[in-house]
Amino acid sequence: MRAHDMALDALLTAGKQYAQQVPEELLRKAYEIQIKYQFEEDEREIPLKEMSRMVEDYVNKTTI
Amino acid sequence: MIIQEPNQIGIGEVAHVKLKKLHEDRHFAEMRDAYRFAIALALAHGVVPKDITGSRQNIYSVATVDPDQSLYTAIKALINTGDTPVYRWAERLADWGVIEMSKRADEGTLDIGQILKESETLSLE
Amino acid sequence: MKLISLSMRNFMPFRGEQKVVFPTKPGQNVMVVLGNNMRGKTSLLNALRWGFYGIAKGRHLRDIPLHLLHNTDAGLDGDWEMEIAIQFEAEGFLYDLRRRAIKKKLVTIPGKPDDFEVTLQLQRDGMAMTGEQIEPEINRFIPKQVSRFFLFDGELLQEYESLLIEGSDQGKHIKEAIEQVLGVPALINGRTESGTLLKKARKQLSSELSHLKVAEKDLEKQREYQVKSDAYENDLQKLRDTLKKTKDDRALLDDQIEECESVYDAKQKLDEFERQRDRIIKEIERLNIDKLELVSNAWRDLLRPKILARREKLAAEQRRLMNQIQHRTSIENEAHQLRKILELSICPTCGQTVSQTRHDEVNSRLGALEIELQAKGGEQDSFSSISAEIDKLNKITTQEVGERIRDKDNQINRFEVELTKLENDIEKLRDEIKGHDTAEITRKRFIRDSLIKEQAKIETEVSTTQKQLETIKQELDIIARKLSNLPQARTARSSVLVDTYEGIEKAFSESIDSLRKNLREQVEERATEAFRMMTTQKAYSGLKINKNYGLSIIDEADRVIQVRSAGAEQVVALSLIDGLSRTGRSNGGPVVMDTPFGRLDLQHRDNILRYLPTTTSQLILLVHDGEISPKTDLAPIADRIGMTYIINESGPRHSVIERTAL
Repeated sequence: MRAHDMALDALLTAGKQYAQQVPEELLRKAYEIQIKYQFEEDEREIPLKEMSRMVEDYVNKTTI
Repeated sequence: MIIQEPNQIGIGEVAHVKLKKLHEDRHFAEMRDAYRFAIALALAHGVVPKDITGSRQNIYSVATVDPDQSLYTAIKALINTGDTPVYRWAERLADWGVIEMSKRADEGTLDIGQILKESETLSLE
Repeated sequence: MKLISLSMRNFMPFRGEQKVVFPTKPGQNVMVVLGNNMRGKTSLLNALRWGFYGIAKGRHLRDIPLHLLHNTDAGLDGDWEMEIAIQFEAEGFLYDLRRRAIKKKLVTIPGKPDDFEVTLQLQRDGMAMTGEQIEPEINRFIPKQVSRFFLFDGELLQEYESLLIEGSDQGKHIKEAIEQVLGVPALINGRTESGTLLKKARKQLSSELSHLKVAEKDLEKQREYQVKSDAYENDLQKLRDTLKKTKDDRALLDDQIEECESVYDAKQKLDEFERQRDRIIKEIERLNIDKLELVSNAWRDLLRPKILARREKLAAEQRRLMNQIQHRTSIENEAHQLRKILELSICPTCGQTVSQTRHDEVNSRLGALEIELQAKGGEQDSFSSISAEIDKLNKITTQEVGERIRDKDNQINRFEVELTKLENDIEKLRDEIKGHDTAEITRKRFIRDSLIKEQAKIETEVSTTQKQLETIKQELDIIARKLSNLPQARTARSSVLVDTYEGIEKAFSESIDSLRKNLREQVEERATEAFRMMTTQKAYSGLKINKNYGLSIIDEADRVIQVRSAGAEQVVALSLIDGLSRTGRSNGGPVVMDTPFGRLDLQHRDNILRYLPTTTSQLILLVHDGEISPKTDLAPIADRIGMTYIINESGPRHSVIERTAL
């Protein structure tokens, strides 16, 4: 298994154990954002905004 | 017939310049060392020069160059000096010798050690 | 993934267009690059690095700025275009990557990276990919984070060996790098960012709950802790920035000191050589003076042969004259006797009267003798004259200085040869230390030592501050949970946000350690596999990894082997690198490495050479002529070698890479 697949696997496993309130899909999306911007050392504004947008969308859907 | 020997001894003008250079180039400690060696070189080669090249000039007193008359004895023993004073012969020999040494120095090296070695094999007249 | 070709234009020492083709036939996947120095080989590594990632590494793995990558000679000729083109094949696609740097129009002579305009193009099967697609595509096959494990030089190998020294400074640095490589940063960033968003969401929630009296105390506490938390985070950031600067300054000084050390040594040598030179000059002078003294009397020796010959001639004459004189004396004596006889008419022998006949005989004899005496004469004068001349010639004593003069000349010559050599060495050393201030070393050392202390101090502060921050965060978590459990909070949107972010942050946080553990296990497994193939000691059962990625060798009884040879260290380091490389990439991509054969025995060398090509799609070996004999030492893989190149220095700033045969 590649290192990055192992990273996703570790995240999902931890999610099941410690963050049951968070759906797996959300964790996957968060992971994808992080992988996409993994080489951005200085410009972290974009992944921060995307994470925030993703969670806000989710919360909006579930709190309606 | 008694031949009057000069008190002053010299060399040709051209050879004088070369004599100075031999001293400046540190082949000899003193110019008179080079003068004596030049005479000896000519005698060793059996050269009997007729005269000095160019005009002549006094440079030493005889007593300075030949204090114990060894040169006088040597020249007299090895050359038929005839009516010419021995020290005039010395001048001619020195003149030839200085020019010869200067030529060797210009061509590369004036190797005194080598000259001494060669003298052992020069033909004896 | 396989490399097909690499084209370089004006890159580092490679002036003009130069191309290298990689071996692609299965079973012949090894390329050997020969070179007699480090420069060309490291530049080849950097050509690949710069092509793929836009970075090039110098000493101590520090980045080389762009403007220093351009070939100096090309720049002097006004050719300011630099390009790396890499063709590679992956997942059935053919890729053509070009990274080009051209001097900006308004710049005369580039002095910084910004003076160049850099463009990057990637084509897949002839179709151009868009700018933002390029990096991720490259990282699919040849991830930047893992690149140091398959594009590495000898310096990196030594760094890995230092990993094995627990707690070493280098070890910590490598550990961070490895973790960075193994995908941990994505999770770390995730934790950081979700943490930031969590803080924001909590603030929002607190602000919404602020009107509730029941929450007043907790909110107050929350605000207080939040202020403290923000302060600690600021401090931490400042400390980290200071730490980075301190480390950078120290690394720079380390380099300068290292450079200065050699300058200092050169200066010591120079001083010694100058002292030797002065001694020799004095000695030559003394010998010359002695020689000239001998020469002043040499004229006598010059005349010696002729004087001796003359003297011999005179001596012979002297002997002849002596004989004549003796003969004359005997005649005179005889005449005297005869005269007496005639006078007295008595025989001196018998005393009898001399007869008339005898009288006549004596008279006749006397007459003859007198005639003889008259004919001779002057021998005495001649004898005296010759004796005097011989005496004079004997006074022209010789010193026999010829041999001694020649001996002095020989000594002078020997010293002059030595002097010439010394003067050449002195010249070289002077060039070496030109421009350096040797007193600087002490000052720099002092500064560097204080930076080391400073670094340790800051690291302690970072650790303390982190702990304090952790404590505050835990308190904040407790308060946040309390607040979000308030009945009024539970239905609030912001409460849901807080809850979600808490979950995401927790998931990322916990996954980091779990990933580290899994990765270490996988690295250990792969490194053990590699180690078993490469070691000659079959009693070793494998490797065990510690939390700093240090590896211990384990024997068949599961005991740690305490003492390891330098060769074993290298094999362990190689195993680690191989393990990391294969953990970081799903398929065995190409590996470019310096031959780490310096300290290995033949058997290890053979094992390594046989093993490595089997774990990679291509193995490119950079070989130093002086370290190994390519023909014999690469024999184990001779049939796997598909291409051989040689890097020749054709000028001080210009190398050429050409096909050759082993």
